[in-house]
Amino acid sequence: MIDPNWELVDLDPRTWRAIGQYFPPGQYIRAGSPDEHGLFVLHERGDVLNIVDSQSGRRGDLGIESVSDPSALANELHARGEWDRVHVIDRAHLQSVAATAQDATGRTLQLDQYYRRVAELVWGDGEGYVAVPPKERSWNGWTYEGIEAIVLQIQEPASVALAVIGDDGLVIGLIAEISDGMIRKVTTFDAFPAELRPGEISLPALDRVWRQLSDRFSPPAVVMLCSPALFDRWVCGPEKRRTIEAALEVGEAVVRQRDWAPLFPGMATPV
Amino acid sequence: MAVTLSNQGLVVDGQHVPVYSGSVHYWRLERALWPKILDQVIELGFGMVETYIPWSTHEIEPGVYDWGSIDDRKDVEAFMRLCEEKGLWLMVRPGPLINAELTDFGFPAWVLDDPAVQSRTASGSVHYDAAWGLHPPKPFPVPSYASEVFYDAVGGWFDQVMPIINRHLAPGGCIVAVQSDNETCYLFHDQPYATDYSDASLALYRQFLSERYSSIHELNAEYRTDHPAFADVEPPRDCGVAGAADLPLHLDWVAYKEHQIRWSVARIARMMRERGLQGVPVFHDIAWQIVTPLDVGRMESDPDIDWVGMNLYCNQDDYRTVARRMRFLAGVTKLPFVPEFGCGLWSHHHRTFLPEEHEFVTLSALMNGLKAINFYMLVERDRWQGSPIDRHGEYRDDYADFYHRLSAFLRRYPLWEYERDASAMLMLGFDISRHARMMTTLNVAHADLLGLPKELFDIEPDLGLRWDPRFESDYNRSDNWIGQAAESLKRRGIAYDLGDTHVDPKRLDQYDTIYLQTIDFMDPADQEALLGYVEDGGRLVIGPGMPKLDPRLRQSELMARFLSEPGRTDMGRGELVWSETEQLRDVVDSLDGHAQFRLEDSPVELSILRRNEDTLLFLANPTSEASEAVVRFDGEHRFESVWSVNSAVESKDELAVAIEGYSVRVFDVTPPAEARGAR
Repeated sequence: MIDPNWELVDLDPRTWRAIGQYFPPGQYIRAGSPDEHGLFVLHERGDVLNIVDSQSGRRGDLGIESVSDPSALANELHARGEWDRVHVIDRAHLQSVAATAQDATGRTLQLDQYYRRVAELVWGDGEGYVAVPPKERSWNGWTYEGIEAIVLQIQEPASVALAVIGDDGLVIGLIAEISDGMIRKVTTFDAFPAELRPGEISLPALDRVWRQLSDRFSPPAVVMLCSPALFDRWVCGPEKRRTIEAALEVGEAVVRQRDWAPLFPGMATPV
Repeated sequence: MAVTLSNQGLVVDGQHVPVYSGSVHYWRLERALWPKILDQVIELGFGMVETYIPWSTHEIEPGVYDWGSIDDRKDVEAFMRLCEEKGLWLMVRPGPLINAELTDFGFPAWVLDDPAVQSRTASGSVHYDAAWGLHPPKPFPVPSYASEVFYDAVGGWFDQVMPIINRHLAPGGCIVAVQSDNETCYLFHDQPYATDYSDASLALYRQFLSERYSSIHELNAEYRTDHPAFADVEPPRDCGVAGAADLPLHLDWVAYKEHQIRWSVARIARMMRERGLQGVPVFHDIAWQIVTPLDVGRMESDPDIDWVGMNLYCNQDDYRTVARRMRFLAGVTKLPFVPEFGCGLWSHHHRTFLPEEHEFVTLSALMNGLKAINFYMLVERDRWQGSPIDRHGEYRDDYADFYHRLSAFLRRYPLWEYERDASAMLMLGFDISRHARMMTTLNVAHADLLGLPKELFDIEPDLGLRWDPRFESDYNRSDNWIGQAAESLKRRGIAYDLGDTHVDPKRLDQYDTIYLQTIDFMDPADQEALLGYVEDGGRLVIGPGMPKLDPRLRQSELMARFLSEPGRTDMGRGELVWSETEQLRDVVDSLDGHAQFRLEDSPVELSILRRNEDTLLFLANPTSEASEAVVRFDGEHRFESVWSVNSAVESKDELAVAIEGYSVRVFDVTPPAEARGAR
């Protein structure tokens, strides 16, 4: 999905800070959110090695000496209502995952594929790493497969742009160039004279961005201008499609896309 | 040497040159823009720049080098000449390890793909680097720094790059310092049993053992084994400590991991010198670690390594880390140096520094003892965000403003000529940290990706110790002995540096008092060195325990010969004091008087920097809330605010200062006008 030699240039610091709160890359494979209250039971093929509460540290008081049924134990502990999530982890499973992930084929994978492989190995065996409630298989409704499918549909060189415009001006201005189903370049509006005025979410503004994108990058495929609140609801909330449809109706977003572009099927203003 | 180190910076041909520098990656910038970019660097107030010289960028195929003939941005010698034309000094870092968000961290792929080069994990698998985000583009095999095949390849690279560097050495040329490797530490997998179990590493480990023990019989006696030869000794691949008898094997492995780092950095430095590098210091940068497997004190003592710095990438809410690292550098190194001071961040970091964070973190570091600094990256490039100069040579005005002001401030107050008022050192017990770090079963890759709590893998065998090494060695706590010492000194306004028991003993006589963390055990050699400090007139305060064992838990009483219970005793020209944690606050109160300037109870941090008669008072508010600090002192002084706010006031006995959240105020403190007139 990402070109190994992708260009990542001219990153406007304020855009990058603004999107950083949504996408902390170092944490996307985490078992649980850093701010949730978790209980972690580490065992080695049934023999308990350690139990740690993410808030209070080691818990030797729970009276758990062995793990015969990891799922049953995790469910039982979670039912006490003390923790947001309970993790029961077989150390032998982690060792097996590490050895498998670090075999020679690892070198052939792109990093995103590699991380996915690690995640599949960790979570693929139901008894090796049990979490109750289970680890979400999507991030706020977004899946790797879903995003990859969208990117794969863009074969001819094309650009996509997103402008999140608040009352004080541009909050996020992001541009990607894609071809052959791979993201080749990511940049921001840093060196891009879009001159968007505060709160300017309008078709004339969309026209300007579209035109300027055409002048400087590959032919545009999708451009969206929206408010910060809409962006937040779209990225983090459920019902992605309905969120955009409602925003388009009330002018909280404007979108233009080629008819073949896959991001907002049937919704956006055609070119 | 044409270029030597001083405690203020570099001395080039007899002239003092401050290390006030910024990173510029020539090969990532349009060649035509180099002059404009360097002019902008100079206009921003800098007289020195720094660059990597990345191996894989120049050796594009095995044995084929591009020094600008194919891609004109790669003409590093033209970049050096341009620095010379513009009067800029230059520090270079030719690796072999680079990082810099480069593909394979700047190693040529064919080098890494040779199995004879690759590190191995405890399970025998290839050790891939793939942690903490998007190090592009693929996981890569981590090279073993014990591999002779690796060093052969490095030698081939150095054969090409060192002649270029040598042609531009100061004082005739621009290059004033060269770095040996970069953040050498098993590619961030610093847990003791994670790596490196390659054949080459095991051979080096056995060599290390053969130098540590006079014979295999001595080792067998220590390990309670019957190995026929050193070649038969197998290292631990996990923590299997159940009792004291298991300690020698594990402690030796942990010590070997430290040795491999030091040995390889020194070897790479020698390889440079064997190819003609002379007359300039060779330095190394540590990523962040102040405990095993890094050993800063011993690395600085290595004759092949002139100078050791430590990198710093901190957001504004991490003042404690900034202060701790700077005080550690001030305590342990010859010239407190940050070779990579976060000036912007790599693109996959999610908390881009804002301009005000640059200001707060930089001033916080300077007030805690930083004297030599390289802003990384002063000029932005691909896969980087938040620098004051973009890759087109234009200022990001909101970011550049701080560097303009800082340069002007440093022209008036060259802080590298000032000394922090630190009369005490807090000393960490290196062996206590070794014990704590040794007791983990975290020997699998990718546990860091999962975000599991580290203590999940801790083990706590019953070794019969009264004091817990893990608890006492945790320098983030305030309820252990070292934490209590820090709190007590702060309360009295007494500035302190940090150090550990491997610091060069010659550095200790600058401190009136050393507060030394001790528990049941301590290396007898370290005890001897510190008793020497006491004999020579120092005051040594130890605790919470009196060591009566060595790190392998064999009987060994040195300090214990002088005190059988908490208390004080005179020794030579100095004094030995033993205090348990609960009494430490009273002991500090009884030993150290009030500092000249001290704060009322406040979250604000105070620091005094002096140069002869000049005094600068720094106040930092490390919280998000505005605060008012009340500074107490005796008599009358004039306080001229010389950072951000321009004002002056004369005060007697106290000064109230309003400080915004995450900001620093700086005052030039002088006697009142009347007294100055009289003087």
